[in-house]
Amino acid sequence: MRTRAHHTNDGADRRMNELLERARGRAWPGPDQSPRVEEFLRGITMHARPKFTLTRSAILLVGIGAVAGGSLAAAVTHTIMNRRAVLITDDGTRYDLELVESGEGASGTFVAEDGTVFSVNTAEGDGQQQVTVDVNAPNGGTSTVILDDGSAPSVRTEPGQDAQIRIIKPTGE
Amino acid sequence: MTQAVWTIQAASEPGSGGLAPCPDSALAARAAGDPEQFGVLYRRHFGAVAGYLYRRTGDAALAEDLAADTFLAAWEALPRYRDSGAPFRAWLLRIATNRANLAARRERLRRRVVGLLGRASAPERDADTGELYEALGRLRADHQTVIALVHLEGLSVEQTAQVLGVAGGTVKSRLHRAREALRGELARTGGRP
Repeated sequence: MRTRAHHTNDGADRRMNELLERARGRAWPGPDQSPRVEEFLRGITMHARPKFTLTRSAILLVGIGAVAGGSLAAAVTHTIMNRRAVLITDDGTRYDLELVESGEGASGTFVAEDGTVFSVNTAEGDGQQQVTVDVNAPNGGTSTVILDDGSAPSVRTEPGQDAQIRIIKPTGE
Repeated sequence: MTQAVWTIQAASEPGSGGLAPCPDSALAARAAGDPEQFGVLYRRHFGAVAGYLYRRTGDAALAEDLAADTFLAAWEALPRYRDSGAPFRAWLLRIATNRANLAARRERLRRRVVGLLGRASAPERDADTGELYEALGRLRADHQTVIALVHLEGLSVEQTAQVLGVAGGTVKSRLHRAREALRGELARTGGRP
């Protein structure tokens, strides 16, 4: 009698374990982002208290010639804007980076009214693309580079501190 | 799309160069009130949390909704987050578990109400695993949780204890009782979802 009960339990256990194993093998079929959370983050980013404020009119582009030219914009698109490299500061202001070609990549320096310097360099070769953003903010703050795969390397600096964000991506070549 | 490899180097901060990538604990410590830092954590973990909730509930739409709730609750709770040495994901799974338990209670209540009205219905699930989720849904919340974490998520007893904030022995005994209860529910329905 006891043996039969034991066998029954074995069978029930086996069936339960099979069902659990099947459920365990189910991979998440949905997206890796939530529109609701994305919308929430956009909202709070816009309302985050600014630690320092930059305005578009305060931005100077130095040492890079005819920045607004159409042909230049096209070159930049190939090098970096295809990856949606966008710089945003902690007051929510968003800057599209416009760079000039230099050697194997492109570069540019943004100087803000408060003296914050963003130096951007891109380089391509050996099957990878590298984007480097050097930041020096006299008043400190947070800078983030957003990429089209959703990653968003970010760096917070104290007043006067130097920092660097470097992104390396295989080009698949 | 290939995953970006990135590093953050704070040149004037000794010994901080070459963090690749920034560990969860460091991000979490400064993410309270900082949507950009929190955004990195969210992008890093959303898929895993949604996957856990999917395997826990068997319902993709519900799982996505609960995962969004989890991250909105995590944003609110971040100022109280303390690095205890457990992975940050364990902290997220605890919030996700609370959300799943709340949803399960609401679902039981809904079924009771619509059952009284003669219109009880179950969410759409794969025929393959529907029977399991029906049986799981009739278990106590703490039994559903321990089975989901150990058997569906594949966590060890120690990792499960970290998520639940209980001792390993508690996890073992709770798992034993939960398995008995689940086996009983499956036997009771005899293959009928």
